[in-house]
Amino acid sequence: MWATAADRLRRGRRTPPVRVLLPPALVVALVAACSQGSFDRTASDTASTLLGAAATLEFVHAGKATVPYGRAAFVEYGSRLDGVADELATLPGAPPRAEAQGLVALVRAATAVVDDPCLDRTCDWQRQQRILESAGRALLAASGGQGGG
Amino acid sequence: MTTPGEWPGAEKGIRGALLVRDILDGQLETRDHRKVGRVADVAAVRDPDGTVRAVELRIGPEALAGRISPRLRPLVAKVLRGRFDHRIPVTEIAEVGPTIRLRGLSDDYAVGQAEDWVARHILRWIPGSGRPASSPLRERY
Amino acid sequence: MRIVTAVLLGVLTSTGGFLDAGSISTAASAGATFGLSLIWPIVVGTLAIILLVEMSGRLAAVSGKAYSEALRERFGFAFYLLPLSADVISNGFLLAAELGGVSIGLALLTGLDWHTVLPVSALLVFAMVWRAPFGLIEDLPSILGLSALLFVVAIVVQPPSGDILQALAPKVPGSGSAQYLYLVAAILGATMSPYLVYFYSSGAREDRWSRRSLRINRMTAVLGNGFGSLSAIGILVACSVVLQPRGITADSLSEVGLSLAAPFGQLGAIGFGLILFACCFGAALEVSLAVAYDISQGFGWEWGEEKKPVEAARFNLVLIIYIAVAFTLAFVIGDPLQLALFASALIALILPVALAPFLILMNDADYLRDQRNGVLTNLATIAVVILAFVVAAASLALLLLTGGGR
Repeated sequence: MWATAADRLRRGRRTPPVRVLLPPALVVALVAACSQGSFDRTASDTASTLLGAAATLEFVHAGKATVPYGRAAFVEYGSRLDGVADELATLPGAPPRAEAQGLVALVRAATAVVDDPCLDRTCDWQRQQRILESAGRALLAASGGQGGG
Repeated sequence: MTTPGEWPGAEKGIRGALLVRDILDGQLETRDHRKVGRVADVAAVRDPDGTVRAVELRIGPEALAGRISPRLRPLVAKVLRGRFDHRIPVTEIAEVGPTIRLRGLSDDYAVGQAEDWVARHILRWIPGSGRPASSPLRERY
Repeated sequence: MRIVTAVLLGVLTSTGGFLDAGSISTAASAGATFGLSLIWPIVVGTLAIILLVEMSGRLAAVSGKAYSEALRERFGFAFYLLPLSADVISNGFLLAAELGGVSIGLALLTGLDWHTVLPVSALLVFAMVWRAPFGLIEDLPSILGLSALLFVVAIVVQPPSGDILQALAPKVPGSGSAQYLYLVAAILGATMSPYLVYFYSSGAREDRWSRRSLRINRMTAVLGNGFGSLSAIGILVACSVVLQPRGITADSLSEVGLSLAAPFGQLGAIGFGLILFACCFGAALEVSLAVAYDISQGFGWEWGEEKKPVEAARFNLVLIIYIAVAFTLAFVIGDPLQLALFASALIALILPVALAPFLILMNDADYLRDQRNGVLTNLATIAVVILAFVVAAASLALLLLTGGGR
């Protein structure tokens, strides 16, 4: 005689609670894995952000994007660049020290531009665009990516 | 004591298995069309003649824990002390169909009170939570 | 005439509701990185979601049961727990991404910092699910989301240099193959998101669909998702034309907007802000409701948007908690585009668990009676489930290999 349906259905079969624990465990492992950086990955991501910032600057001044758009976009770019200059040279796969330091200097200069972009005609936006593009292309080359434009 | 033959949808010969399968995980609905949970487990006895008779519906986390693993049920029982588990005699079943219709109103069963508790203690403080359909219990808020 | 109006509305809302942060992010990354060569998973994913949505609508209309209800009743609690837990976790990340997308959309329109706008976005989503009637939840963001068809117009204004039809043939590139395959999995995960199934079948119950609704269901599923996928393809092509030549790989949502600003100027930039807001807002409503439906229906609680919050108290409590958790995730993790990519890949992992039950349910006479799957539909469903298993297996390996696709 069995007491409950659960007992009867479970007779001869163990149902470990692993099926409940599996998805959260998987997520923790995945998040940990995705948190690992490498030089190539970080450099190409940063290059894309800097080239995107350069294009945004160009578009705003060419009248193709609004100033509010530009302002909000640079806030997003700034979030993406947060901490990159500090960790770039020490990431797995980073180039030799001298080259890495050169890239870090370019990233710092570009980050300063992103933190204070010139979205009106009172400042030299083209100089800023040059800083962003040269940093972006240098990072792209260092990561083994292919530049465009 | 009632027998499975009295339940709507029951068939001779395989009464016990059909009844449990139809009821387990079924949606419980009261006479006033309120959903009060799902059947987590069914307690049954086997008569001397071999007929399996369901006697009680079990609802709540302790019963559900038992469905996952036998080791979980005592642990959940220790933590929750049966506060959220409820039992409904099968005599309360009026009809078995797309839902398991109970004979009483939602206020007649303890299992329906969790909904009221959340409404009364948590949601009522948020603007726009609304007043439910009239009921002596619900008129409190 | 009423049927024509109902069908039209269904098609419009499905078209406008197709895009979300996941599909925008994956399509943009795909186009900006690999040009036209990733259109084919969008097409494959669209065919699959048409099938899944049609089946979930048919299940609800004929059996009177939403998908979660049928899952619990047919397969039992222990089985139901697996897709439930996977659903809750993956959609948590996705909802966080959608809230981020809403915020960035509003920020691009106003010039504000999106972090400041994030609480406003969460409150807006909450206000809609708290008190808006289901019809408004279904229709308003989706009608606004039709603006995404601007991406289709962009293809005409600035056509790609390559042949779109030729690019439909799958071809793994020599370099960057891991990232290519990762994006294939992420696109399929974003397009075949199970939350759509949960939301659509529950919506069919909210709208009290019956056998008379089967034709509306079919047309909505086919035409709505078909037209909707054109927007996703439009994003991919636009990003391949504008971003790829500049070396921009669409790592942030603001970069994606440049693909519309290039052909349309300020109208395009403003349009992108509106598209992002509308699509992510609609998706945020659907994702949060899908999880609340899943939990409430599975546990047998009162549920429904047509009820006052106190009449479906635990359903609404789940909504509140879930939106709060997603808001916290969005605030702490930030970077909505990366969140969306990660969520899409995670969803790809759980696809088999979420979709395999269809094979049994849609052939169960107790539920579907004379509307069970035919042979062709069953074969298509088997193909979709096999695809889901392949994508899931590949997604896990690729997530680890690429560290989240980057």
